[in-house]
Amino acid sequence: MSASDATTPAANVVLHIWPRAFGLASMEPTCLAAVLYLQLVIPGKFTLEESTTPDYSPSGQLPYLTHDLVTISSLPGIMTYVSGLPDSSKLDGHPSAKEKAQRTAWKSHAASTLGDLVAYSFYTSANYWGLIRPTLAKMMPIPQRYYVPNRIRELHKLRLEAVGLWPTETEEPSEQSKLGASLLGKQPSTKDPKEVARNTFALEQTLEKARAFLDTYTRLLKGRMFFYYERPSTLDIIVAAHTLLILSPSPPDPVLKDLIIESYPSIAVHARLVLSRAFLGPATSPLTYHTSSTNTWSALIPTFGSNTPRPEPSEVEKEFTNMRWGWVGLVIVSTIGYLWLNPLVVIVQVGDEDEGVRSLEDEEVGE
Amino acid sequence: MTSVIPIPPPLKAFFAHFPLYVYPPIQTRERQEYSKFPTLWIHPPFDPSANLLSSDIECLKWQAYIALRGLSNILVRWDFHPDAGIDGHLPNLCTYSESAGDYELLDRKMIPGWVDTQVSADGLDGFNDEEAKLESEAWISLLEGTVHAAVILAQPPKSLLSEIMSPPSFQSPLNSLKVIFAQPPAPLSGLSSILPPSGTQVDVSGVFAEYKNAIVALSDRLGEDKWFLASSRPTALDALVFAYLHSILSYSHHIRLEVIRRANLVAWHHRALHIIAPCFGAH
Repeated sequence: MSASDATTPAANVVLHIWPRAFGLASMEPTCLAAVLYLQLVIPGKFTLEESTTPDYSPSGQLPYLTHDLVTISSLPGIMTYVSGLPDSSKLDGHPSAKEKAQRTAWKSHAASTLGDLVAYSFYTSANYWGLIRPTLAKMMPIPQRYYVPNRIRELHKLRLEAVGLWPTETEEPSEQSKLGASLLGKQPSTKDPKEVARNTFALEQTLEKARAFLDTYTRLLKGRMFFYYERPSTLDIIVAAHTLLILSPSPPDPVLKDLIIESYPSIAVHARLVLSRAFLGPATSPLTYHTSSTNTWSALIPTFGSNTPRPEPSEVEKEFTNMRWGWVGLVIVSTIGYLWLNPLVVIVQVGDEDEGVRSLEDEEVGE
Repeated sequence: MTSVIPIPPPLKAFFAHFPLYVYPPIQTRERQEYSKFPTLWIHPPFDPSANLLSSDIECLKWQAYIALRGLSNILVRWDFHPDAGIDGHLPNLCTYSESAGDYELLDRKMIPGWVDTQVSADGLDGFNDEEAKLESEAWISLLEGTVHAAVILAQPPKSLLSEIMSPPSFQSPLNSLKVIFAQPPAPLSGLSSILPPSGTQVDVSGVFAEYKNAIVALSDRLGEDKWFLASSRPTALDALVFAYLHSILSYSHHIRLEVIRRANLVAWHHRALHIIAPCFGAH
């Protein structure tokens, strides 16, 4: 089952994800969830491609899936598409309409709340400068490794501030210039005691919120192995992917990791169970990787969302486009013709010297 | 005027030539117009002649909450700029207390507390049991995520002239696409490109596909019940659902087709509108 096996139709399924880290298949929760899903639904019939430039995806984010000529992005789209492939096993059974509705709501809740917790444990100051930035920088090629991790952090900072999970610290470096320090990966200097006190209060608030979310999932789990059946369903995969990314790394400030291990062991056990079902079960096969040779310097050119799928233009629109180009051509031709016929621009041919002398002699003789 | 150091009499006589008068404070015209009924400060309604429900989802959510808890005769006013509210946010509730004899402005987070003082409350906030209250959190996050993103994308773009002529309006930070998703959207100029990040790149068709699934799920969960999650009386979740459904049905965009196709949602919205709209009067 390698990438060059083109006879099996499903072998052309390629999933593009953020690269692996911390012993897991990907360092981003939705990418990891996509890998777990594919491993449980079409084991061995897909290949992974690790990519650090999400700009090539139709939505600008990883994960995205390419299957021959079709490109699907975002986790729900990928799950829907893959469950419709011919030889895929069904994870969700046959729920009633009401149960299906409840699961949709829970999946959205899991993705947003646990996604915020993962972002908090990755991108807050100590963990970012100590663990995540070096990891990201090692994955990325030379020009990107200096500025892309900070950009990713800024994106997550907006969301965490809106939700109220961002600790209120001011990062003002004392003597070094900000640009130089961030390029070299140096953490900004330490804060004064008032900031430390404010951060402790913010930490308590964060822990309150985290406890509320984790309580919800523990109560939903009700002491069983998985949420609905005796095997993982899509909700199990989403919750486990986020939990694994909080548990597996060893960050300098393991607040959430310690919280889960000490107070919510059932969630940690659930995550490990899903991982073992995905990779150590009887019907699983190891992951295959595919490397592509994209030029990393071409990633510097901005795309402005040109990869997003645009709808096919209708007949009327095509006709209008043709007429528009026809009008432009007519304008150019008529401008050139006008300038040629009206002597605004005269092209004069200068004759040779003998002819000019002879005509003068003729005139003199003629007189 | 008491002073620690006693003023010598000649100086006191000199100061007596320059007396100090203190006048009562002059109230602004708006303050003079405060009424004794509880007044809600909101963003302007869609159509003031039809009903007084705000065009902003946050304000509409709180209007629906107050009305569904059983209060009525609440006045609304929309002549204030959002900066006039606490923290620069509307809605705010302005109440008059007889005992203090003064007006009090409440932030939206304090509105449930105020409603509890006016109407009795139970521990479960109207839900049937703890399970239902747990499930309501999931529905709230679905609405505030996917459905809110679709509503933002469906808002009619303002014309260039109105954007130039009107003063810069305060945009609630939660109304931006950058903060709705837990996985933040990439910048339009590309994450790895040489330009500084600007703009937001959103897969519009993906958002609308998920929105469609969310509306189908909402409709399936409602079924034939009177209130969501089969509660016996309306809850905060019903207020939120009403706010989103009313906004969706008021825009002339194709997202309202998804809601119109679900007959039980349309009927529920209609019934809730007849309960909520009469509770408010113009200031």
